[in-house]
Amino acid sequence: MTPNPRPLHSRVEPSSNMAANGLKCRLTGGSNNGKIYTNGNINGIKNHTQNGHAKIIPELKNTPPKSKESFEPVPLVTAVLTYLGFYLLMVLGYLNQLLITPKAVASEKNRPGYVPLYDSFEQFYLRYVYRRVRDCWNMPICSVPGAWVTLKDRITRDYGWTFEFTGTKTKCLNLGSYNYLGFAENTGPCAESSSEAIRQYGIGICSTRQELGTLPIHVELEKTTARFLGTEDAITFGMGFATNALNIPSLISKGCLVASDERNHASLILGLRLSGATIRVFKHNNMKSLKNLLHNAVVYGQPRTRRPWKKILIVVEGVYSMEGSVVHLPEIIELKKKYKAYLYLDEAHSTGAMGPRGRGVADYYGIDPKEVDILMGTFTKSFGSAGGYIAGSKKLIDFLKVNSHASCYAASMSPPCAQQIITSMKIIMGEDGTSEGQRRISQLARNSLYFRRRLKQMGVITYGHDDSPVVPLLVYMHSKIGSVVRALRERKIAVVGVGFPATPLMEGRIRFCLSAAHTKEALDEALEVIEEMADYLGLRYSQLPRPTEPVVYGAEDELE
Amino acid sequence: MFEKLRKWLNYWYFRYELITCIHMFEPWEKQLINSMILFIIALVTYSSYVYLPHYTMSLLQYVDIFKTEIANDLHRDNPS
Repeated sequence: MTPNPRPLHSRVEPSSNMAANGLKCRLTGGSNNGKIYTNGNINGIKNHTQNGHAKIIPELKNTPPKSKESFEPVPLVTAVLTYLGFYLLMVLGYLNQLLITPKAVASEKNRPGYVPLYDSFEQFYLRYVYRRVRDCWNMPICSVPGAWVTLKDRITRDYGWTFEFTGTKTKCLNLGSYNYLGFAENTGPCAESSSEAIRQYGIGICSTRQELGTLPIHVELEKTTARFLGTEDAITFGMGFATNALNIPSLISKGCLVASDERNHASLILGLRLSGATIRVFKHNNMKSLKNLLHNAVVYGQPRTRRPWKKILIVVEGVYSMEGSVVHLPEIIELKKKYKAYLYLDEAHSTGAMGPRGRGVADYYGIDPKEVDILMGTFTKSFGSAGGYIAGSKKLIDFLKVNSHASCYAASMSPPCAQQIITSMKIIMGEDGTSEGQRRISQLARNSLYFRRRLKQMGVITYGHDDSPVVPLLVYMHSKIGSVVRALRERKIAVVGVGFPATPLMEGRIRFCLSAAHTKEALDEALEVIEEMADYLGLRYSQLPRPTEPVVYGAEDELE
Repeated sequence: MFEKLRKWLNYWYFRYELITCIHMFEPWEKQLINSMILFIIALVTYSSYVYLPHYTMSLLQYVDIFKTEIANDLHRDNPS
């Protein structure tokens, strides 16, 4: 045994680097003291081959050096307790339903012998589980939901059946709105140009695009959107949800195959079901699962006749709003080219929010947007307006203009909304002559990275990619969702808690949406409050080692 | 001094309520569940108090750790 063990696999690196590489810390069992033991016993690794070499563990070679995503599994005790809590809720709910008739609910009258009109489990869940914590949702606001929002206080005297307004208002830091670039303002160039647009074009269109509803402002909006995204052409609709639900049926039909991600949004699922195509689900962001799916689809064809599929469409989202994860776009493009499938990318949360120029996940990965066949997005999140768009080649957009349900039957976008989008896009692109857009994009990137790293340091479990502006904090238990939202609201922070129907049963979460309008001081205050709440309510579930070095705001290398 | 103890107990009762999801319920439901849990704990404690010593002793004697008259009787009855 040599008294001088060679540094192998960086296991004996100094402790300041240890913290930066989660993989190494995990292998040494969390004690990052970087001590070097002689006599072949390196950092606690006892089984070794000759000459002080540590045993070579195969996984070290295959895993990438630093993964930016984290999806830590739930600790067992928490999982068991969450299930038990849910069972308790159900049992007591049924007991309640049996013994007590509620006063303030609608019920069907004169219906003996009829089948009930409404789904009974949904009714039960709403009345006996959701109702208990109902004061944490649907909170009325009395100001524009920018970085700070004013909530109207209300109390409930009968445990959630009815509410009364107390008459007071609370100004809270807004960590719940999808205000990624901070365009939710009622002053400034966007607001002024929108008022001008009202004076010029009015408020209501009262017609669909194919009849009398196409104004010059819509044409300008579509040209600007196409220029923003880097595609040939774009078409816009008045409602983001409807963009998905009504356009997918015109693109695919029965006999087509759709490979859809597990955690896709309800609008995508609705559109896919309406179209009548065969839907196959692959595991969330899992390229191996998608590859198997595509491979089997191409090899085996349609189920009974074995004919080849008419079209294969891969439907994914850019940033998933409940998970905070970012799609692995380069690998999907590779798979798409190999298996000759089409790609539908829903960038509702990533347009304007990701990428060095704010153009979405394609920009983030440095991929040409023309490689994605159908780019879809909404204007609700980063542009401070309402509506959705689909962008792609001119042929696709011409087809949609004629054949889409939404362009034929839905009322077109109202002029002030359209003008708000045009102005905000011009600001982001820098066409208004200032660097305001670039400032907002980099502020958002810095904010999200800083916030996520501080949360990781705190020891709470967050899901998702390090660069995404959506941060879900897992609290798992239903009672904790309600208590955290209430406790944070008391300390003047407004957040959104998400529970069962929107997320899997076990994974109740609090979702923070960061914005370019948040300053570092506001985020610091919020993080202090969150840390206090994490101690008070017991939210530090993470079992991974916590990085010890202090997080620096806006260090230059983080923006790569 | 008692204030501190009371506060400490209150805080941990709150944590217990959060974990078992009782915090979301109305007071009568809380009382119902708490009394059921206390009832089960009381039942388990009582049965342990009554049955466990004798059971443990006879188990240990059966595997020849403690030898007393009962064990000798056992061995006399089935010599093995």
